[in-house]
Amino acid sequence: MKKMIITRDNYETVMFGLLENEYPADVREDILQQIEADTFLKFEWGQWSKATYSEGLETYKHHEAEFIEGLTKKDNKGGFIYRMIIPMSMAAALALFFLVRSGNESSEVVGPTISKNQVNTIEKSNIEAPLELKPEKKTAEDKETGKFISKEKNINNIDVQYEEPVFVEVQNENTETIKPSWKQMVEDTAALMVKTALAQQTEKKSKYKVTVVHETMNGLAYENTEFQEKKYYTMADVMNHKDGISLSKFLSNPRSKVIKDKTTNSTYIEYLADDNSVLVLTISN
Amino acid sequence: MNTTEYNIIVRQWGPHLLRFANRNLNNMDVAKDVVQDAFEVLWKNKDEIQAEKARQYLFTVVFRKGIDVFRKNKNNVAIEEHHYEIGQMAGFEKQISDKEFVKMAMDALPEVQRQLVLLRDLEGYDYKELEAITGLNESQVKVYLFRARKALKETITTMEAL
Repeated sequence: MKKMIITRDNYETVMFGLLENEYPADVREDILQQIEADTFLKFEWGQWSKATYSEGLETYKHHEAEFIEGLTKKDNKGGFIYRMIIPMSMAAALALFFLVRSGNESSEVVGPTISKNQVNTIEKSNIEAPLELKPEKKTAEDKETGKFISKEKNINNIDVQYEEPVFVEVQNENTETIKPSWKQMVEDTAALMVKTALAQQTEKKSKYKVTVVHETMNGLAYENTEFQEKKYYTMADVMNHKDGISLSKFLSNPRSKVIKDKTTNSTYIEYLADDNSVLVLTISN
Repeated sequence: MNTTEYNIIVRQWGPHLLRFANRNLNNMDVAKDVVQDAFEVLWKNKDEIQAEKARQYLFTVVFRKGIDVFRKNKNNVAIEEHHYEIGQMAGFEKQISDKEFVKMAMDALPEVQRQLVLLRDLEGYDYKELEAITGLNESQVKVYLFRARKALKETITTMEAL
């Protein structure tokens, strides 16, 4: 054991060491015996041993429990979800909005959305020559019993089902009768829009409506002579109520064909309905 | 450190920190602010701090914030008033326990010395840990503690003699 002698010169350092518990137990015991033997040292050690601070935790644990508990954090494992609820809701709302809007647009795909298209209803017999289509013999028969759809007063909202188009080449002489009219009405953009509409319809495999001018015609467009005089209306005309044209008709179960005129380099889509009404869409020239 | 570990630390060391801050600053409201700030700092840095190091981290923050508060209130007369109280209470020393003498004597200590005594006596930190918390080296810690103990002893002796 290392002997530590406590004197009046070093007692403060030694007593500090005792307070700080710096000595081994046997050394500490020896020092305490030396202190006990000296009155001055005994008094001084009594004062030194008071120079420590102690305070229980009970007050802080119990009286301040609420404050302590308030410092805790909630375990938000679903924090990410909670944080994402608002953005996700907004995204869902936007998606729903565009979905509904898109649905509305597609339902009127050949209506206002393709206002640049030429949309014409023509009586079948007027275009008998150019629409001499093969191999649909029924078409030829129907043409002879065709009716003027332009004279119908009631609106028939009947869906048109898209069918895979059949390309038919038309002889030059057969298309001559309507050649000038087509040229007036063709717009390049129309081709793209119609194709887009058809593509959408093909993709959806659902019905879509084809709008046909038919009301308040007053014999302007659907008399044979009038037809020859190139009185045609565009969809834009229809939408703008030009010449009193204001409403539409829907073809019932039409058969569609794509007709390509090599001479004029024009392409048409023809829809022949059950009631022999014919719709011709010009998509290029 | 995850949330569960953080909450355990709050409940385990919150009272200790509050006691330390309250004894150091002698004001429970300010002590609560300091402790709350310390835990907020811990929460912000919880990803970098390991749970086992959190206690020392918290005491370091409270120690430094305590010094900031003390510096802000350096010209505050509260401490001087307290000295006056001690003088006034000298005649009633028989009703005052040794513990209360020590408490008063503690308030008279310089800021760093008081904090070192509190950390040493209340929390049982060794010199190395005190070195880390206070930023002092071990010798300085020892010197400050020695001066603090001696000052406490002398103050207590003086008060008892009055």
